[in-house]
Amino acid sequence: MEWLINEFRWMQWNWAGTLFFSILFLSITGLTVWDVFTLENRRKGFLPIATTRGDRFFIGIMGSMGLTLIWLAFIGNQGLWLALAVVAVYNVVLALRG
Amino acid sequence: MRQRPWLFLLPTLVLMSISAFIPLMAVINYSLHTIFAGSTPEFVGLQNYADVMGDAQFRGALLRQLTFSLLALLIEIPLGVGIALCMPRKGGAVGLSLVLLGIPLLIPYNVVGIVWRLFTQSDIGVIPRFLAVFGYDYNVSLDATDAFMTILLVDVWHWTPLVVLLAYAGLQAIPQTFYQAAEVDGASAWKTFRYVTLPKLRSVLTLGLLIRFMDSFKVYSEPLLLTGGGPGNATTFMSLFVARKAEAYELGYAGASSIIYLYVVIVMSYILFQFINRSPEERRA
Repeated sequence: MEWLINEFRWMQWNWAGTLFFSILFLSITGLTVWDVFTLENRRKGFLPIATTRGDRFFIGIMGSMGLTLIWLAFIGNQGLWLALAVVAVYNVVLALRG
Repeated sequence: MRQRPWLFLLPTLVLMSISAFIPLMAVINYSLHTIFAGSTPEFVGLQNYADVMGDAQFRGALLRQLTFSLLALLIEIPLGVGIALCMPRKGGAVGLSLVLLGIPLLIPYNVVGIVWRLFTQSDIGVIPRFLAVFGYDYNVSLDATDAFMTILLVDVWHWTPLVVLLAYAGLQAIPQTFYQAAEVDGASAWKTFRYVTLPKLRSVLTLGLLIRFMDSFKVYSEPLLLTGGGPGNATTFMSLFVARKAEAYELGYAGASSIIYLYVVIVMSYILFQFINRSPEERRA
């Protein structure tokens, strides 16, 4: 383990990055396994295009990043927990109605 | 075995992990730190992103980049299709035109930059001399518009042949029976192009459009060698902006700006792809 930490020290791992990538890879793996066992057809929600679970996941990540960047541009580095709540609501709505 | 395709995909996935995901992970981790030479990196959360989003220079580079990419696409795609339509379809001239078109694509970026620097040099360059005949005082190192338009011209010269080759391959793949049917129906040349040629070129043009859009965002050597990003910041595009921050060893800031840069490319490519590939029902809606 120590060898691993030393060898990858150049990557500047931190708790935020580790959490982000863990959630990302677990979600991708989960979606892949889900897709292998129950293939989903495209569906049309409030988005202008018909989407699969994977599409909505991708749009969710991109939208979350966009919302956070807009928050940072206009409000700055304060109240990020509120931004996180907005992003969470957006993702839930997207997953259910997108 | 139902999951056998995954085994075949495994080498590619491992290779991609090493070549793409690990560097991307490192950049994201860097973007969450303040890193200066000789000091211990300090975790700052999203502060670098807030700094980048509030930086007028970054917003300027992004706007410049979007303008450049949009103009490059608006010129290169119609021009490429137009040239492909004019090209001979059979005979010895086909090989010759393909070779001539392929030449700009074979020239390395650095050489393109140096050659065009000679072309645009205010004292000895062929372009200033040519434009002086029409009374235009062209100066790439003093005039911002001249510099921007020159980089655009270089990009069009360098990359339109790629669109031509793609469109030409697409045109060759359209069966003649479609054109014969259009002729029997009495369709005009424009209607044949609009309702036969263009729809059949859709997949090829989507590919060309996406490749060129993503590539135009990577323009780096040409402005670096031709104008050095100037005059002022007139040709400082996104890649040059990020590279300069990294050269100044502001690695956290450079990491954050490159992640936003990547984000813009991904989102715009996705929107472009979805827009072009809408089903007929979606287009009617």
